[in-house]
Amino acid sequence: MEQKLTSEQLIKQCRKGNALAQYQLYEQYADAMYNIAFRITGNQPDAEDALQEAFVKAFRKIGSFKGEATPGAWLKRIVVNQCLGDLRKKKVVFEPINDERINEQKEENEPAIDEKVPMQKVMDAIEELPDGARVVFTLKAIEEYKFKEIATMLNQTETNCKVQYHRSKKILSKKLEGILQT
Amino acid sequence: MNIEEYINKNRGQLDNKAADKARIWAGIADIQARKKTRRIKITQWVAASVVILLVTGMLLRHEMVMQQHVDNLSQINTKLAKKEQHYQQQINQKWNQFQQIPAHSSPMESMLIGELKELDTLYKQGLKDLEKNPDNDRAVMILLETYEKRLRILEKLIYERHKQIRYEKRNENIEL
Repeated sequence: MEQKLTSEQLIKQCRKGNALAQYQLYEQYADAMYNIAFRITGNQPDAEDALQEAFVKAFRKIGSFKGEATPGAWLKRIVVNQCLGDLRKKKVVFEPINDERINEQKEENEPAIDEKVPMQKVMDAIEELPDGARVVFTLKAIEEYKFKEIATMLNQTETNCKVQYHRSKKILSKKLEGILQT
Repeated sequence: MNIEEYINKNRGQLDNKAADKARIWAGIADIQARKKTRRIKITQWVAASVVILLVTGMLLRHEMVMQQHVDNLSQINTKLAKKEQHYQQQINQKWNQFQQIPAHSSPMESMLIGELKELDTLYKQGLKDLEKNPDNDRAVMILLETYEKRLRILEKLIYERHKQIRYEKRNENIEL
C-alpha cells in the first residue's frame, strides 16, 4: 500500500489494524503532535514518551473515532490529555490565588511584546516559564483552548487559570523586554 | 503588540522542534506487538489447556508411540497435528511474503532473524524434552508458543523492510 491515502481512508485502514496505514498516519501528524507535547511537558524526553503513549492510545481507540472532528484535532486532544496526565503524575502544581491578587492584576496594562523580537526567543522564554504557567499559557495562547476547557482539563477554577495566564504573560513580557538591545 | 497578536502573527514558526520519529515509532510498534502477543497468549492459554487435557489422555493410551523418536508435534495427536499444520502454513506464507520484498539488510533485520534461529533451537529442545518426558505439558505449550513468536517476528521483518523502502524512496526524492 504505497499510494497516498486520504485521511478518511487512512483512518479506515488503521481501524483494520493495517500497520502501514498506522505508520502513514503517524508520519503525517508526528511533527505537529510532538511540538504540542514539547510545549506542554517542557522537555524532549517527556514529550517523546507522551507522543509514543498518545499514538498507542489513538490506535487502540481509533474504532471510536467517528469523524466528529478532524483526525488532527482528535489526535491533538489525546496528546494533550496524555501530557497533562504525565504532568499530574509528576505532581505539577497550579497554585490557587487569593482575591486581592486578582484585583491587582486587573489594573495593570496588557503585557506586550515588540513585534521585532525573534520567535525563537519567545519560544525559549515560554519554555522557561514555571510548569503551571507554561501549561496554561500554551493551552490558551498557542493551542487556543477556552478558559472553561482549560479549567476542566486542569481540574482548576476558571479564575485560577485566568490568573495563571495573566501572570505568564507578565513574566514573558518582562523576560523579552530589552531583548532587542542585547 | 500584545502577546496573543504576536503568537498569531508568527503561528507558522511555532513548530520548531524535531523528534526522533523513527525511534518513537519503533517504541509504538513494540508496545503494540507486546499487547497483541499478550492477548493472543491469553487465548492460547485457553486453547492450550484444552489441548493439554486431550494430549494427557492420549499420552496415557499411546505410551508406546511416545517412546519412539518425535520429530514434530503432529506425532503426539491429530489435534496438535492440525494446530501445527495451521501454524506452519501461516509461517510459510509470511516467509514467502518477506522474501518477495527487495532485500534491505539492517541491524534490526539481522536481530530478528537471529531470534527466529533461537526459536528453532528452542523448538528442537522442546521436542527432545518431550521424548524424554512425554507428560511434559509445559514443553507442549512452549512448542506452540514458538510458532506464535515466529509469526510475530516475521510480521516485524516484513514491516521493517517496507519501512526501509519508504525511507529510501523519500530520501531519493529529497536528493532529486
